[in-house]
Amino acid sequence: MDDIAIIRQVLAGDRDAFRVLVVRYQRPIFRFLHSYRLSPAQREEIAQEAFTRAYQNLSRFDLTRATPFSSWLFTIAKNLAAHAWDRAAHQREQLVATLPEHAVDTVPVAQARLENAERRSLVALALAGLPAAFRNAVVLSCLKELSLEEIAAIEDCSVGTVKSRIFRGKQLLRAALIETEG
Amino acid sequence: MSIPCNAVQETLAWNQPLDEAGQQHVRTCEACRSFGEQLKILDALVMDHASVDIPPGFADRVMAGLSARPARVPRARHRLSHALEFRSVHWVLANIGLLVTLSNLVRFVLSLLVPSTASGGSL
Repeated sequence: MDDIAIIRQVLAGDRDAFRVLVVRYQRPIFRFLHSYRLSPAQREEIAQEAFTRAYQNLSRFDLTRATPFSSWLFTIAKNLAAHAWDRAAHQREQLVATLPEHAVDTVPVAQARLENAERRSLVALALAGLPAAFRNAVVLSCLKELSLEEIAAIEDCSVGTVKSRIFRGKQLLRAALIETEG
Repeated sequence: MSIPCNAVQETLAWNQPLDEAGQQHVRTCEACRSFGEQLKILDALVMDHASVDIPPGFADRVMAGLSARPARVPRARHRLSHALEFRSVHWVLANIGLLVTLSNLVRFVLSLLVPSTASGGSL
């Protein structure tokens, strides 16, 4: 069943139908939010708030417009995350200290896990170093869940701008990772 | 290699499929082939970085926090009522302004035609 049919069902009074949308989009939303350097608790809070706001404002969602529900939901999540990101701006300098949520263990960890955590930390650092617009475009593109048109709707810009941000963002990310690896 | 490298690399970066000419270009251009391979690694790294586990019971918690029904504010009606309200205020203000202007115009014309009117009819 497509999103629009589910939304119609919810608006008709079938509250439980909204669960289908939550289950459908929870993973992409969490993946997207992961690019923001927020704590897991903050990410969950934002994800929950995004779904709740989407539900509460569902009757405002224009069922006839071209923008799909996914773009609308991602826009809500992006705005909430950006707000939280700004609030945490003063903590950003401590990024390295807060990064190793996977790596900081007092007990010995398997070498593979450590390498994986280090790699993730490097990618996280490189992503965090990108301008927000480039980071969003790159991450949304890499998730492969959304079309360029949907990403443009989320970022409130043209498809051409999204393409430019993806290309430039990936170039910057590639350069940053090459530089990091020395 | 009639297609410029930049065009091929952009298409690769957007994760869009290359057409036949683009594929041919990549087969013969070392720089673009290398760029494409690095992009694959880059995408995989970003995906891996973003591979997160959904907190157990997340959907249940979302559903538990929802009201019985979404707020019932049909977008079209909301817009219409807002527009009407907005327009009605402006309509009233515009008409008051028009009346004042007309009244002043009538008084001015009368003052030209009947000078005594302008002087308050004191003579």
